[in-house]
Amino acid sequence: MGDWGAKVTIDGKGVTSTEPRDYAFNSLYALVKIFQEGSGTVTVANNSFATVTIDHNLGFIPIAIAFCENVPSSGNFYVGAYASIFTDSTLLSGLTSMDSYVTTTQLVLVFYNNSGASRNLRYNYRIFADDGS
Amino acid sequence: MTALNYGIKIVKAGKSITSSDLRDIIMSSKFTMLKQHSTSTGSATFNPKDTTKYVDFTHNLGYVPFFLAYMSCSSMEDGKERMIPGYTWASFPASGDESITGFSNAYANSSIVRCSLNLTNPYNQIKILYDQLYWEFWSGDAGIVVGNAGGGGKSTAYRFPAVPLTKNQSITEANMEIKNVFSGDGAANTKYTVYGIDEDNVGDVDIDKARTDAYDNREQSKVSGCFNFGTDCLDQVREIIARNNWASGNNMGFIIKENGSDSGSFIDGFDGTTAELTVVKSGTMVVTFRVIIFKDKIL
Repeated sequence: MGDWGAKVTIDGKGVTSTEPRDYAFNSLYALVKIFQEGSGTVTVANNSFATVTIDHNLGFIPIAIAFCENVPSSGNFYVGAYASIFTDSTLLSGLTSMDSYVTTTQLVLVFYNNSGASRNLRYNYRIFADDGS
Repeated sequence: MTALNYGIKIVKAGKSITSSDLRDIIMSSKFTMLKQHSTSTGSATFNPKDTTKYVDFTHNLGYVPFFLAYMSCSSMEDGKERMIPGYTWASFPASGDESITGFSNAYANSSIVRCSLNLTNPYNQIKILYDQLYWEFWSGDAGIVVGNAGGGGKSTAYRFPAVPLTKNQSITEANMEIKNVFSGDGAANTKYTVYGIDEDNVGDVDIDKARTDAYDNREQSKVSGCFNFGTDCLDQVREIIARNNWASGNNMGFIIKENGSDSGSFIDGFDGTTAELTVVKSGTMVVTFRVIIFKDKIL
């Protein structure tokens, strides 16, 4: 069987390079494909949890990542959960956080609000058609 | 006119292009992929007593981009980059195997990506609560921290357990704070002297133990109500950890010795009186963040 395939290098790099980072595309390496993306807003009462469930039904546990605007209208989207054991001044009036997990059928985002008032939290997610294996 | 199903699909070796398992596909024009915008690193230095540092990465995209972030710290966990967000711990073998903990976070807005590390305790600062107190009683069970309540001066001694300082470790500050005390009736200052206990590993404390050459004469003015007072003990701590058999984890002791206070001038203690030793060590820690920003938009 011949060494067939396709590859495209980035500017200034040769197609004989053995450095994976030199390639914009190389059929030798799997690429991470965005399967599903989306965003939304969830209302979380003070001192409460709220859960958002996103179906993907891929049949395997995919790579996924989510962002959350922990402080409404701040424009600052935290990657993953906001990690803390204490109230941080950057969160203004209290602590809001997001936890997440993935199953073979769903991405689940769990929001927690301890800011002292109800919050409308914006989130954004990507689910990839890959499991990293 | 009917749209045709044009496109490109490349599958892994040995897999069929009709496979329904999306993981078999290396590339398909049906799916978009993340498009890298930039990779940047930036560092911030934790000085002693710092708790929070962050680095901003400007991206100039004009919208909130998708990103990933990692962090590493100098002198610990060589070769590791931790994903952000995360709960971070590490040990410093040169500093008595103590650990530090912190929380890393990152967010993006339309102009920057900010990465931060918040330590749960100030960097290179240790606090130890006393575990043993020797004091002289005035009357009944009323203990005098230091001073002259009448009938002669009274003194106290304190032990702090498992002090995580190595022999001759470089330190910049040491302070002992006595908490929850009251002033006596006298208006004059209470005069006292602070000594270290000149032992490698202090057992039971008392006020007659051998004292360090280093000492400080202090005065405490009268205060209304319950209060705390602190006293520098840097030279005493330096002398103790310079002893031949001092080792990290040993107990350290101090004596607060009455030093000629007027009758009625004293600092009164009770069951709620405590003592805390705070030491600040030398050294800095550099935290380096790495951010991969993609052209893909979050918002």
